[in-house]
Amino acid sequence: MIMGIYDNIIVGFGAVLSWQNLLFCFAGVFIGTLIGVLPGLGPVATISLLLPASFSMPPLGSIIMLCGVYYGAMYGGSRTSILLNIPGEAAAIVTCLDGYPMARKGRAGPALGMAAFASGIGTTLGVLMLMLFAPILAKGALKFGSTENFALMVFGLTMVAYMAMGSVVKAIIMATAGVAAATVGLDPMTGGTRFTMDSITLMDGLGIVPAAMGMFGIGEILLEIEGNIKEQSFSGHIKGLYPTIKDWIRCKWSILRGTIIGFFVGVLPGGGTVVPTFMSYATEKRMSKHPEEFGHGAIEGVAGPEAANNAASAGSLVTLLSLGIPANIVMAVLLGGFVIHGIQPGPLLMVSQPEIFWGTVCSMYIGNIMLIILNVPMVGLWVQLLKIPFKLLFPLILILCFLGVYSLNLNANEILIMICFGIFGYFTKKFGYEGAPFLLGMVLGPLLENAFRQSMALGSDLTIFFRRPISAVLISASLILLAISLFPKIKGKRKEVAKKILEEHPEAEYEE
Amino acid sequence: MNHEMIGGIFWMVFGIVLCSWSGTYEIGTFSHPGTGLMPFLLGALLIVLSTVIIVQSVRSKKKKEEKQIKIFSGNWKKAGLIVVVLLVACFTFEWVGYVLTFFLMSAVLMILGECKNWKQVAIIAFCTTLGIYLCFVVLLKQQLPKGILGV
Repeated sequence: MIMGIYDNIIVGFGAVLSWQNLLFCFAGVFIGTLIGVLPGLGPVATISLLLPASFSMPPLGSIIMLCGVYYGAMYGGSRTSILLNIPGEAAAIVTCLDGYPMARKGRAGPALGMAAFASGIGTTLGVLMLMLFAPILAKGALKFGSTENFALMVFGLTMVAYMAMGSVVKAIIMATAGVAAATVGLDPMTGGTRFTMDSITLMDGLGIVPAAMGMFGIGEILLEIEGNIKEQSFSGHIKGLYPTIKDWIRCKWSILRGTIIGFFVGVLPGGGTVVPTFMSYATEKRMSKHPEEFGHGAIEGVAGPEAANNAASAGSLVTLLSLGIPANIVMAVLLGGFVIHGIQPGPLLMVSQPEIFWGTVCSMYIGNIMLIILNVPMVGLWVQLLKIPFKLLFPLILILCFLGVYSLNLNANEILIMICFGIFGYFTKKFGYEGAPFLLGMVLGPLLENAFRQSMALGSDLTIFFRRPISAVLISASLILLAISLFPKIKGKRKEVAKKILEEHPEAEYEE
Repeated sequence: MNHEMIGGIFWMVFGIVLCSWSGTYEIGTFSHPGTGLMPFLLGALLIVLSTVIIVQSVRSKKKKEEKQIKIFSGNWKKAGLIVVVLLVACFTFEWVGYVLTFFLMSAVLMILGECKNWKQVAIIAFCTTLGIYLCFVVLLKQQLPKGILGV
């Protein structure tokens, strides 16, 4: 096994170590940190925006860049959390709790430094676990048929609903509506049209990119505008970026625990990068000798969640690369990046195109080093960016959304679809319905319907899902999760932490 | 009527429309599913779930515990104006062309964002359009509509 990993590392680094790929990697992590720092544009909208541009790039280069945006955003998100008490990215919400109090006590430097180092360690260990677990999972996935795939997708959607910050029923409604939205267009089995109203644009479906950019780009901006633009900027001076030995001693186990929690929750379909940060924070608070310091500037409250969200980003790649099923909405958009280049992620990817698989994995090590350089010695650059007022930033974000959607198929009707999704996202968020389950439902919809109809053709009734062992386990697990959601005492612990954080940051939402 | 009730009714109507629209396609059976089966099942599920939301909202109303949200609050008119700007830009984009659309769009949006310095608005709108031209047209070779200006 060790020899196998060694060979894979050679293949991966052999593929990634060219100046073009290094440049793509740098572009990805730089853009990722940038959108992590700037509010309004998350990794979903950014990867969607870059998809059309990636048409003309080499396959490995574009995948490396898009992945870099994802894990780069995890680094960048913590900058604003620590300095301004505003999470630049949803996964950095928890970092506000202790990062900002540290900054107010004059320890912004060590908080920023520890966030960057914990992120680096989290990603590095996460990628190591990815290298160990992805081949095992891919081997097992070869036994998956349509029934198992259907059960896995149902499990994923249930997990998204279970992990939702708000009402589980609302999250299931959103996931169901997302799957329903995916039925617009051509029937995958018969080729007949559904709900198209004779529109040629709708024959191709509603499109995940207009939906993602509408809900997470335009919808968010509309909410920001409605809530009166509040300008906040960091005016203090940052000194002493390197954490002290005492800080390291306090954080060593927090980082390790955060990494393990992050990776394994990230692997689960629907796990995402937000939930592990809440879990890590709750774990650290429970295990700390000084729980009273949490919320007042405990450095473990920064280190654990930061390691968790970065390890989760590595974990979520396991499900995509080895099963071909996106674990969260960012992975769903990333799947679009693979498909554009004719690459089919799944159990056969590491056999048919090992340079793509291992090149992507190894690029994360290189990207990680770049990110530490970008985020520790060059932190001043990002602090300067925080001075750009939102009133100048939001027109640019809207124009980029506009441009990104048009560039996909050179079709202005898709811009209209994006605006409609923007209005939909604005109202659903206002009414307490989260966007992530909708988009994951929309991505998994066609796969889910295909798997369902193929399974029905094989088994003729719904008991087929309980007659096959893997499918029976996954469907039962989904039903148990739904049952647990109905008993608040079991779910209460996590909700408690989430509630406290959401009270302090009402703008926060479970977004991937 | 509280906001939970409005949400529940919206999803119930959505579910009913989905079920009835699916009925216009072949539904088939579980062993031979037709085009309309999946959306029909999803519509039915939405009706059930929205009923739960409506029942919950009635209960919480009785308990008088619910925190009400305002559908139109804060700067909602400004948010509405931004949607109008986006819609106008969308419908005229191919005819007017990207240069004029993006220049006017960024200028109008900045004014809506309470940027009061006209010189600053004009300079930033110009730089945004130039940046898009250099990045997307020159560098990434994207085909954007030239429109009436022909550039």
